[in-house]
Amino acid sequence: MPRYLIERTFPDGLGLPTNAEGAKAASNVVSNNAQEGVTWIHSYVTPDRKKTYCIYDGPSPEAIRSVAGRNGLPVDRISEVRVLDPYFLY
Amino acid sequence: MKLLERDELLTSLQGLLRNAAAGQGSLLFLEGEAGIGKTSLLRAFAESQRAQMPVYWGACDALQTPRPLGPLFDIAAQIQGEWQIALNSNVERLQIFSSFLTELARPPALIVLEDLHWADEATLDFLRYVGRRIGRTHALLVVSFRSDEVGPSHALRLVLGDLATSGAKRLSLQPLSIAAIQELIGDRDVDAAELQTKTGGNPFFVTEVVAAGGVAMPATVRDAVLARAGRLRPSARAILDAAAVAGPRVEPWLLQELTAAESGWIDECLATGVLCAQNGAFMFRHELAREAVLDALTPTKAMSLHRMVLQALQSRATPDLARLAHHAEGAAFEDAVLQLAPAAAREAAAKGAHRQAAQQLARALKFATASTAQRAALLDDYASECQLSGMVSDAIDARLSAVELWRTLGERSKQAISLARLAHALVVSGKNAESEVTMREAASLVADDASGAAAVVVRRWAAHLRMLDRDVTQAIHEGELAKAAAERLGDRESIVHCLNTIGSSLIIAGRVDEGCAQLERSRALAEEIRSDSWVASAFVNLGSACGEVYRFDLADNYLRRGIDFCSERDIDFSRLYQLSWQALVWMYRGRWTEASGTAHVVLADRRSPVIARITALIALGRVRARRGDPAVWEALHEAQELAGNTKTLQRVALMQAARAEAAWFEGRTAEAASEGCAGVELAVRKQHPWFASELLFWCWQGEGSLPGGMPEFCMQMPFAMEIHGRWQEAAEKWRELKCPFEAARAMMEGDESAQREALTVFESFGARPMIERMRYKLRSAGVRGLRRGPRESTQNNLAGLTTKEIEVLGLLSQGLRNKEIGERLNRSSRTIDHHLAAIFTKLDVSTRAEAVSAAYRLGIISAKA
Repeated sequence: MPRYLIERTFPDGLGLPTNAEGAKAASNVVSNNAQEGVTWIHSYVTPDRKKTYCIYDGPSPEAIRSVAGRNGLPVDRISEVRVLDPYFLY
Repeated sequence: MKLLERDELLTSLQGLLRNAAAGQGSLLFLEGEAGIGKTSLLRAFAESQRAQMPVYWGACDALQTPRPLGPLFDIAAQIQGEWQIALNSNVERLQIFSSFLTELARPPALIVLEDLHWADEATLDFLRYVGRRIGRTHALLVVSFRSDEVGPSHALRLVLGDLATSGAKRLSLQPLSIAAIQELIGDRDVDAAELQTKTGGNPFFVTEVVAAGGVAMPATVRDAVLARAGRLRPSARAILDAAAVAGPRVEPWLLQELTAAESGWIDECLATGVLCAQNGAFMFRHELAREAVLDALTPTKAMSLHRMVLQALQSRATPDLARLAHHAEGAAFEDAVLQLAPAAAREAAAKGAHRQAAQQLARALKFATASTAQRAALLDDYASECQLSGMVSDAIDARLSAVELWRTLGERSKQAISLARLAHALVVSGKNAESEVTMREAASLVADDASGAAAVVVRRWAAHLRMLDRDVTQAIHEGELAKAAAERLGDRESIVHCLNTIGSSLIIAGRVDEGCAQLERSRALAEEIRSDSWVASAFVNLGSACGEVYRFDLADNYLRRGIDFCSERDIDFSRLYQLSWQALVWMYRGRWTEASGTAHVVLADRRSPVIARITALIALGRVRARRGDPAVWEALHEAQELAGNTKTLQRVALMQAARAEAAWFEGRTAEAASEGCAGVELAVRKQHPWFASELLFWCWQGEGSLPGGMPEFCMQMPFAMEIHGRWQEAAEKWRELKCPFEAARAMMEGDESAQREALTVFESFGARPMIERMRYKLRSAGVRGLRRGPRESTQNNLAGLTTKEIEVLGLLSQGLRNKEIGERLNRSSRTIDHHLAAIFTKLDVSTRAEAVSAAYRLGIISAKA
């Protein structure tokens, strides 16, 4: 299954609190993803919380867009990516 | 018989039946290996319900080639009424299916269909039809099948997949536990643990072992059955053998006649429990037992029993042709097979079971080995049935043999017709060059009698191929001549075909209204001669030809109707091809989510013909390219591979244009030009204004050159207007054609306000490559005040909707139309269109209703108290 990097912009900052409410929101995302065979691996968030870079596994870019719609998350750009590990080079 | 460890399943069944009676019908698939107890469970359940509501029971038989709609005939025998009459007369099967729902499923009822792993095609179509609609009835339909016989490529798998989305439920039966096995053993001297290991807890196996007396534990279920049968006295055993050959359900008179038996011996079989009496027929306690007894017969013994069964059935004038053909083959009666199998094939074909028809013809072919006209005709019929059931390569092989045989027999007209049909099979599988050669050969054979019946068939197919290859003038000319000849002969199917060819050609030639009228006439006449496949073909060509000349309003309407028509009749080939065109049309109309979703449906279905795959891949590739998403070239490389082989304009031009556009978005201008250029010569030669002007457009965008210049016949095309700097006209034309993306692309070449509007449109679609180009262009021209990223949005709005978009959503949720929303917000309705497109993109939905419900779900707007 291809891996994708999804760039998202949150002009007012990502509103995902680190409490029970935030955990519930995150688990909603996970269950919405499952319906399209999409897996959220993890994300990087800028300190101002205005941009996120998310790593996802999914069957197609359309599946990534579909779950973004369901989760109400914006999409700026989807890129297909592969892992490059510096320690592999030794 | 006592039912062990099935209480939970019975409770589930009761629940479903209760819901059904209350108006929420459902379809349940009950699966499990052979002998696991599906029938026992269903019988027990049916018995407990019989007092409350009618129970209908039908089963598929383990015949090599089952009788079409066999289970429905079983049910028909249990009821009286119009439905039974309809089934026995030659009523269209769609009517049979729909009156089944109104007559049987509308009032509360339990309907059981057993052993669907043996189902014929028509029964599976029935299941698909009823499964999609059972929710609105008061019936529970339970369908059982052997899970170990339904592999990944089994036809029932496709039905399971199709119905999974319609809410069909599935239950499976589990093996017996040690405790249950111990209960069955009772105080006999058998080790329960060993029995469980040996039998895997299979109830049938367990009971056979227990009944066999269990001195030595039999290794297989077959051994267990034979051990039990071995205890019968010879006369009783002879009855068992005859019953095994006679079929899963044996009429009492038949068994009497076969064995001249006194009922005493039959009673012995019943007493040992190997046979049982059910609904006025004898049957084995389990199909596994019948199989074991059948396998143990010597070939000569089996043959002579088949002979007796056939004679007995024929003396009573049994109407079940598939059953008669089965025994004729078993008896190795050549004459009987050659008479019965083709008759069974005709019956199957009339019911839409084309795969079974092909199998019956294959059966006849096994016996018609001599090089006779009979064999050649069978080969032709076999090829036609193969093609209808999607086995195109088998069709080609059989047709080649038929051609060769007609040639040896000196039958030139027959050979010519076979060749013409072969040419069509070749085109469908993308072998266009071979098809041309074949068609020339066919034409040369009928050249001396150009108005004979065979010549008309050859000529209409020749005209059809010209149309497919987009030699439209020639196709119209040849089609008219063939039609005139067909009219003189009164050959109505040929007239339908010619009207189809002429109509499609006229649309492609730009005479859209005339063309649609001819195709509509073809469709009406096809309905008169009751040819579903020609009705479907008329819809296919109305939809795809209108799409090819950018008449998306017409295309959309015809495709919708055509897809409905084909779905109801399960004409998969045409349905999937039309779906692929729907994806393409939606792509052009800016409905990208629907377009890519539909393309995925076509690509995921292994029944999709090559031409549908090509079209779906192009639609998907273009949506991805326009969004700036990855995996563009995955789709477009595969499209190139498949379309390249056909070398025919309608595939090549669509594919080259898509590849040119994708390369251009990625900034590879030389490649964009060369991709466009690759199709120009062909498109100009065929005088196709849309294809020629689009491909030239990409040459121009790529390298600023027009190889061969802009031909006169392209001058009024919007692509030519864009090239010639007539951006306003072009944008207007694109808007008229309902192509918002193309309209914005034309405005990109306009003045600053046009460019700003173009940017809004691109933003609303999330068309990243064009957004970047447009911003760059505006900035380079010194325009200031462009936002760098997405607009400011309100708090707690994860979807990134703007304040204005949320306002629009709020008004949308009140049910306002675009014009009214525009008036409230003091904006033009075109601006509201842009906002809606942006909302749809951000929420990844495709309708207004979906947008509103997504907004509520995400808390973007809140329900009023």
